[in-house]
Amino acid sequence: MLSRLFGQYLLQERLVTPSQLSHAMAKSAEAWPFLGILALAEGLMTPGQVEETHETQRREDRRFGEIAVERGYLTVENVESLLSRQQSRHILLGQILIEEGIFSHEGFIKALEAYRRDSGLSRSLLDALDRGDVDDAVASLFAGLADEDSFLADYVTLFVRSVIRFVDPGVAIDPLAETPPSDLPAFRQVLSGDRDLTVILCGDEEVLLDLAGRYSRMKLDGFDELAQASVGEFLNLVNGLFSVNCSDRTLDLDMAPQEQVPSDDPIRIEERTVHVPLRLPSGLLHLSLY
Amino acid sequence: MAVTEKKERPVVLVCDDSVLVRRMMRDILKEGGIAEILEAQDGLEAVELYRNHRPDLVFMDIVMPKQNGLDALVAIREYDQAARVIMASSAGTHKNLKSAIDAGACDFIQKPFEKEAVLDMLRRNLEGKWD
Repeated sequence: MLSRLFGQYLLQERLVTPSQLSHAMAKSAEAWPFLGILALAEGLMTPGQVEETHETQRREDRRFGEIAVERGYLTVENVESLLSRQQSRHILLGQILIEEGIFSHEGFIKALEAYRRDSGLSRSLLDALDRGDVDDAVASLFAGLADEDSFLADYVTLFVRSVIRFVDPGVAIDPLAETPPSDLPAFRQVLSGDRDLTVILCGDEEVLLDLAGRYSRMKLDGFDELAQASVGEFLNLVNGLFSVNCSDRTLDLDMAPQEQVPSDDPIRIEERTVHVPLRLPSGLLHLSLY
Repeated sequence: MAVTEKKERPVVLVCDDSVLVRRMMRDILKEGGIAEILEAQDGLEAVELYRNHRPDLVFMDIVMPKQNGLDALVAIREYDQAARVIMASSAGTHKNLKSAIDAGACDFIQKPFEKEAVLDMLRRNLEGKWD
């Protein structure tokens, strides 16, 4: 999740070009971050120490961790902890950008520190996003929000998991995305019964078309009736699954038919209880709960 | 491979308010050898089409505008006690399943559909009639 957000940040800050980012993201699908880059990202080693250790590793054909421990740069515990972070895709993204000569080690660390600072995200949320841990990421978003029986958090978790499963495995929750304008195309479905919930899904036409195409696995030419039906059906699917989950907990919910929100009935984003922006390759998809 | 090779041509009615679902179901049914497929986008249309064409099998969504699938099921079964209606929905809650069974639905299929699951439904529900 985090690699897409970090990539987006690098793009916004003009630290990489779209083609450099796209190339690095594609390459990252088949690679793992080295221990040295993880140690850099964690502030455990300096760029000079990493380069020196890499040099020795190349010369002596020994493991990076072993050399770093021998030289006192890392402890055995540090190495174990870093090895457990090798799923870290945003660090891998940095590593590839270094390999491609787009960043120096120092430049990468500077960009990473700036991202951590500018994002304002807590370390626990950053870690959850980095691990792709939907439960923890959603729990961090809900920290401080009244949701005693986790009804809303359960919904958001299911929604994100459904996007991962049916639309885009690399989708990222983007907690820092701005509030969407109220005139975006939007789809709405109302659930009522033991609890009341209104779900609104909105985004630019380009994003909704991307969602529609990925969900339906059809080639769609434009945001036509079929594309709109695909977005609506995805919303309907998630809400159906949620109502089934609730039913297993003896919570009865009835679903009204999903509908496209008419353009003369602007969505009242400011009145929402929960807003979860999700970053797809084409842009932001906004989930709002009322 | 076609589900049925009888000379008679089974007719299947697909009722769903989503044009996407109707399109997907049509593709799967054609692959299953069903040449005659009727489409309805709400319960009222489904009941009317059923009365006019007496299809051999109905795939019925539950959550739809105008008339939901459960009410349409009741209306169809009132008209024809032998009607074979499969409820096809994402909303397979205990309440909906019970209502569907009570009203005489012959099966239930959970969205999102897997092609094989739909073909299996065809085999099971058209078998006796067309083999």
